[in-house]
Amino acid sequence: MSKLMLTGVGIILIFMIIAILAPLISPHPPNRVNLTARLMNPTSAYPLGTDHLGRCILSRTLHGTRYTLGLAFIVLVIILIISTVIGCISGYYGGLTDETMMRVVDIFLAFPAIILAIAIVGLLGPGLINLLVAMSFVWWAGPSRLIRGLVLTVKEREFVAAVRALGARDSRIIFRHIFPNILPPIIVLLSLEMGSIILSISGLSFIGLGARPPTPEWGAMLSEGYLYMETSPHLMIFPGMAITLSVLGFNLLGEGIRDFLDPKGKYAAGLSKF
Amino acid sequence: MRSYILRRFISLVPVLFLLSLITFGLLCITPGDPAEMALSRSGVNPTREAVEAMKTELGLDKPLCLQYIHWFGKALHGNLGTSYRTGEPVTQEILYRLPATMELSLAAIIFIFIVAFPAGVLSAIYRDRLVDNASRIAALLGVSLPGFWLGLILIYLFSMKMEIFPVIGRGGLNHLILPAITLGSGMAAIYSRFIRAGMLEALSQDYIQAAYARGIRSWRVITRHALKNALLPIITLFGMSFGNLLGGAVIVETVFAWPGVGKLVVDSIFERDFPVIQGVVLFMGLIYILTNLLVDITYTWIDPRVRLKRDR
Repeated sequence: MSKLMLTGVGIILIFMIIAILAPLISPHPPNRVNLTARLMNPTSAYPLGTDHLGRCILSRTLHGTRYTLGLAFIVLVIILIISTVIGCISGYYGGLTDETMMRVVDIFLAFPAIILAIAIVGLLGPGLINLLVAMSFVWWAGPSRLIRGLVLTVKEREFVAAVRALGARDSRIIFRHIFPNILPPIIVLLSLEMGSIILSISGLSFIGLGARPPTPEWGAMLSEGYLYMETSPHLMIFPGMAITLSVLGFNLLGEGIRDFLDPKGKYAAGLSKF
Repeated sequence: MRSYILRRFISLVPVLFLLSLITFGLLCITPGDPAEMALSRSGVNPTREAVEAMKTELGLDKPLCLQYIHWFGKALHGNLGTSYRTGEPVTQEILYRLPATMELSLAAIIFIFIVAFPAGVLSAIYRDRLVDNASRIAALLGVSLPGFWLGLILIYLFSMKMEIFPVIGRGGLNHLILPAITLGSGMAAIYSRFIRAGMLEALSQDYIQAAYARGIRSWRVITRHALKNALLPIITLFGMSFGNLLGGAVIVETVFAWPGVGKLVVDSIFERDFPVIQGVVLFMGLIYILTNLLVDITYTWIDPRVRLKRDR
């Protein structure tokens, strides 16, 4: 493992630990309002200061890890399920099924995903569930094509022919035999998307389409904090740093993986959605 | 070449069809009864008879596919309905805001090229040296920074503290600089790495050795021979990233109160102005698809290798 990748893994692990331990290590409950301590600079009681309602920014940022990373993880799992089903069916059956599905994928890829996502949340109404729906709806196409490619290589292998000769049904071949073999590369490939997913979730929450205040989601915290930017910049500095660091962690991991898979660096950095 | 362009145009048909289906479908997912909403907007008490009459008037009593054909026919004539908020035609609202978004995108593209070219070329020439490592770290930071946060930081530093640039709004060149940097930073990071990769690939080719062997000055070899070939993948990347630029514009315009299409769609979302949201999706989708068509054709036209392969 390269130094880059190790740093990335380290950052991700730290955020995961923070997400698990958030209630234990936060000095205050994230939504406790203290109107006598509004917009305070960092003190010993409030290590990162307080916001316009006197809530502890450190506690909110720590809890935000659960929301932002948790949501990104849920989106990732939904995308994983959708794209695995589509990729497996398309790759395994081939022919007209494959052709039709891949044309639909093409069309989805030929569309600015984030604009569609914004429109879907906009029409369904802002909120977390609708954000998850919209992001999954626009994100499945790319991974589906990758998974189809993986299925194509695995289905030609001898053990698949052997299972088929034993009379296994298609669904059993796909899910019990092909799927376990392509799962590790799928997880690696999808982890490359995490950075973009985090940026999209916090970006949409920032403009008010995802998590809404008082949820301590990082993007939502920024959308509250920037109004007080001139006098109390700490309101927006820490949640923003948290987003940047977590995305950086996943991007470093991605760079490491790419260096490993593609040492010549032909394909360079990935495309972030924002 | 001509047959390629023709084929490319034909391949647009299903894409445009799906774009129109998605855009039309968007209205079907909106919660609430459109006839009832239209009535309450005009202040009429939505009794059952009034709702039925409104449904007939809006054509909502017909089957969905007929509604789609009706909508599609109107859209072909540029009629996307009227905004609930202003009562103006949606097409007019969008066309009115489009120049601001185009101005911002163009400025961002200029910024991307100013930053990415020197960074990419120098990183390739001085591979694994200080310049390369610094540009790699800068690129990683560039793709990891949330655009809206970078925008806020820039506003804080350069508008509030140093008072060099105006805080928000559209105006002269100095209004344009901060939003353009914000919108372009992520893409500049990606481009610089792609240019580096393309340059490394080009510099390792035999014709570069041959150029050196002929005694051509190294600066000329780099700019005239290597860079020209490194540029090709960038054209494709440009098409792919244009959608990101449009998407990013939605957020950057919100941060900087830039009166473009992105700001329009966000405002419309909060005002539940559905025809405008629908219209913007159709417009942005069209722009994106046409840009990619243009990029593909340019690419084929510039690179004779691709042209010959495709013509065969």
